[in-house]
Amino acid sequence: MRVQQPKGVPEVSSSTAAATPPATASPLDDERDLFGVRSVVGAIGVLLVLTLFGVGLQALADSVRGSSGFTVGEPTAVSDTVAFVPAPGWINDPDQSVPGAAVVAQKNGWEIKIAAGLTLQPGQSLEDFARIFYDIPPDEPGSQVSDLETFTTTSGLTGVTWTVHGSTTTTTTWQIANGDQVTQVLAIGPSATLDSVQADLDAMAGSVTMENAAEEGQ
Amino acid sequence: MSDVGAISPTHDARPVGQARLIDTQSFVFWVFVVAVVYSGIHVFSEVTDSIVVQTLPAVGWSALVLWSIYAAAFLAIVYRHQLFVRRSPWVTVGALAWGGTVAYWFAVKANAAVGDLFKLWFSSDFNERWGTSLAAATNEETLKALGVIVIVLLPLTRVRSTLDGWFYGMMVGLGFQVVEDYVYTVNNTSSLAEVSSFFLQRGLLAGLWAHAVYTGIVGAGIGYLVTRNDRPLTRRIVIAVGLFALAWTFHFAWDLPVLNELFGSGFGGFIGIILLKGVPALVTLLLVVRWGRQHERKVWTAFVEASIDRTLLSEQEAADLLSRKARRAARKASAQAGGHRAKRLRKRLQLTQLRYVQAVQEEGAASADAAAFADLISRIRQDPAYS
Repeated sequence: MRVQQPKGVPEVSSSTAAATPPATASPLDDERDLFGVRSVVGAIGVLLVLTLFGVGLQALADSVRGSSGFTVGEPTAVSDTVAFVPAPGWINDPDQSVPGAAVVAQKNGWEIKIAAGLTLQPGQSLEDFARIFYDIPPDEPGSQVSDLETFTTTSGLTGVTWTVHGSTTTTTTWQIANGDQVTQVLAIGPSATLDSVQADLDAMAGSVTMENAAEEGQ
Repeated sequence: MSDVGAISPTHDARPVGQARLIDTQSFVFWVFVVAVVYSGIHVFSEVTDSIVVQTLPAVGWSALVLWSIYAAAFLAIVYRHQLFVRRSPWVTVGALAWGGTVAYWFAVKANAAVGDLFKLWFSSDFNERWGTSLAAATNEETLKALGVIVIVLLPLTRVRSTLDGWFYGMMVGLGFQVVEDYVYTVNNTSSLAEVSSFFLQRGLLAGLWAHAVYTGIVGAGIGYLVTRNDRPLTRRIVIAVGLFALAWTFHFAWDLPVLNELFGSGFGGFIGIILLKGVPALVTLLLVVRWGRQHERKVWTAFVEASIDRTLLSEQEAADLLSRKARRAARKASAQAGGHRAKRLRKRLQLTQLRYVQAVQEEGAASADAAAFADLISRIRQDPAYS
């Protein structure tokens, strides 16, 4: 404690007080104890919070990233020329994925497979190509098959899609073309939980990008 | 230090002791030391690794000088806002150190981790629009509040009032703010003009309602929670949590990009953002300080009436010390009666009387400091110019 003083008046500071300790200790000194609750529990509490923020959160992020196998929001390569952006919560299934050709991911009992490497025959349109798959009778009797519809990906590629609604299982297929190259996205899962993944499926199919293989090779 | 709080003279007349930071009889102190050193090394490394600091030392040094001046000026303003007491310089340094090293460095790590989690759980777009603000408000406010809690946990820091929490909270926030702004400056500028622009924008326009203000609000809540034992625990918890929530909201809103988009990117938009986001935080802080001062004033008055020699501080003189306005009025009256020197002596007397009361409170009426201040009061009064 210091105070400006008039000339000739001795400086008053805490050091002079230190030379003359108070007659009685502070009541707050009663709480000083290295192994007291305040010291030990307080230190452990502070350490725990710092550990949580310094290490724990990153460990959790690493764990989630490891269990997912994807970096959500970042493009994941299917092949040298095909990629897609995984939606949150979808977990990579490396057992079913084929390196360089197909990626399989799962969520809520649903499975999506993005497969590259299909090709159109000379003079064959994507609609003609798709209709081969479209006309295959559904496995589940009584399933309703939607119309074959066209759509455009976020990167501007054209594709076709259709859905087979069964009482227990629903299958949606997207086929996207770039030149004669075709990427197929096939999603299959319980009809009851379709609503919970519909937006994810549409987003992932719409995120597919395909580089022209001919240009890539030049 | 600012009031006797739960340690009322009627319950325990022993002096409360001067505040100190160093307390080897507490594991919390050792955790504090290790955390500050560990984080300080990382912060130093981050700064020295900066390309600007390595390749454009003039830019790095000018940023350091500017932000140091800013910190000193901000500190001086807050320090002068202590009405009845002067808080410990060393505890103040400790609070600044926690904010500028531990809170900053751990927040950098935590913000990055939470950003990853938001990307994994939601999307990059979500993280950009909402996640960054959520992470910053949550991590940074919690880590800065932890600094105030560490100070509270150290018995020798003598935290005894709402305003103690406010003051040390502001210091933790100021340390955080200045280090963050300095690192941000050296990582994003390449010329002295850009440094000046950053300083103007982040320091003068945006800095007056930033971390120091948020943590001041949080610190007041913590101070209230741990010192106002005369109030029900539930009420204290509600107020502490409520003030934290308010500060969190101000911080979240400040960082939220969607609100910035409402106003556009021009200077007018920036002023609009400040009015919408910044002013409410500053007004809240001022209200909290006013609320804390009301209690501080009552406790100070009670202590003076119970424990102070009235020959050294008369009732009228005590009344004249209760607010800055009353102090100015008393000095003005002295000036009218005895001229400029009388006014200066009156100011010195007021300051000495305040320090005398603080010395009695902390060290006892028989202490050397109290005796010296009492002697000084007598000498000032004996000065012929003092009327």
